[in-house]
Amino acid sequence: MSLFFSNFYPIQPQNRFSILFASVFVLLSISGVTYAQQNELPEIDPGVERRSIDEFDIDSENVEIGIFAGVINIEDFGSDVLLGARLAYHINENFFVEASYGQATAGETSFEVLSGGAPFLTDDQRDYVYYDLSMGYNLNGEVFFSENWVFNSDFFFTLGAGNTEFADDERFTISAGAGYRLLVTDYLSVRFDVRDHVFNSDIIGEEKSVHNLTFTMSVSFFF
Amino acid sequence: MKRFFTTVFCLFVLHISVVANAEELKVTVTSPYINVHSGPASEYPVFHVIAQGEQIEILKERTKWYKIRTVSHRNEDDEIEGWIYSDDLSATMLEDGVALMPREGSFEDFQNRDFEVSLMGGALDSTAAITLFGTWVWTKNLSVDASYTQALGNFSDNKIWSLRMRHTVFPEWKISPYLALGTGEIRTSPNANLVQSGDEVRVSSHYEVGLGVRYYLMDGVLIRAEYRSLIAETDRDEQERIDQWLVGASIYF
Repeated sequence: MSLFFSNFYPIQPQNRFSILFASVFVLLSISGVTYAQQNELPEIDPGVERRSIDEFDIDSENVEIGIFAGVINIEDFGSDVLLGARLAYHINENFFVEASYGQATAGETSFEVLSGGAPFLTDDQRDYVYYDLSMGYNLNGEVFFSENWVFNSDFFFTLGAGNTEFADDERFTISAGAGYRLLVTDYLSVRFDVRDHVFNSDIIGEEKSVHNLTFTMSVSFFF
Repeated sequence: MKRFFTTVFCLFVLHISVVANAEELKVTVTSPYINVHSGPASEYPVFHVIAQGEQIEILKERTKWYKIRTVSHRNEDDEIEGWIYSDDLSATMLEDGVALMPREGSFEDFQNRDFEVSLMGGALDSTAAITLFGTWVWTKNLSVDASYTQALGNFSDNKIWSLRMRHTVFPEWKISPYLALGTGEIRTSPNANLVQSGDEVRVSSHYEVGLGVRYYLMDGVLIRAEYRSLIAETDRDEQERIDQWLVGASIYF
């Protein structure tokens, strides 16, 4: 093994899992997209003069941009306020891809509180920043507040991978979750998301996999 | 927090101006009927049917669904808004009698794309790695890739930037091999808890060769698999080689 990339030791069990996950995630996403495509092209009569819809300036709304605020439970470091942003592209009526960015400041561990001193991390090390890229699947629906007060909505699942930076350490992070999107108008939506962010960490000693749950509310626009 | 709200406000204003600029297009239905759904997906129920000869306005598009409004010459309260599928546009004609054609989403359209965005996952030597590509499609054969890879290992982290030229061998085939050549930079940093092993971040330039296959899966989506070999220039005499396997999907515009 090379000296330069001294990190490449024989495959660790958790690495093997991560690699498998990354591959399976991508393959699943692909097969899902194929399944969602069910529409065929119409038959076109060559004798008739036609103009393509592309020649007209029709507002296309496939990109969703949003900001969110909520709570993150950072394992061993309590619950903290989380702020962030998301950018999504809707591939078809069911599938979307989404990039998310979030940041929080971690609180104190129980040990720090009980010992009454001896901070475990410096203030800078308490900054918690993550980003990820996810694939999402929408279950489209409608919600009826009353007979005439109806909104489109969808329940969705997401699965993704990315990076978490915490305590001067960066980790490959897997995220999975679900959410609910209420379309107030065609282009304005209110969302509630729950996601679990899983990565290996040795901040408090031995290496373990940590689960950081986030609960967020967001407002997003389609354009 | 103030900046946060200012951003939201700006986004909102920006959005309204976009909506206000959109031009409305009026067409007449030529087929016996067109189903109108309550939302932009096939799962939404059909709540209205537009008959042959009726006029509709096309308001906006989302993922191959078009929002329409029926035109009533008698009473504006009779006007109905709903969503029709892209294919149904072929059953309409413009005011001058010319038939309207939906966006085909054909393989020819794909060949005229300008940009691609790809996300790929796999392994860089033995570490899980994810790579994001942004691609400018220059000619049918040649394209320029800018990529960012991160492989966060248990002992150190690698982040790789690269810029490369990609040659698609048979662009007219749905499945085509491609070759890539490029250069970039590798940043390797040890993990914080292994400070004694050297805290410095090592930066080295690299050359890379890629060999892969791209497959046109459907309108808007490609799948790709690639093997990439990176040769890093170190400050020692010898060069280091790293191998990366990637599988992923691309969307194009």
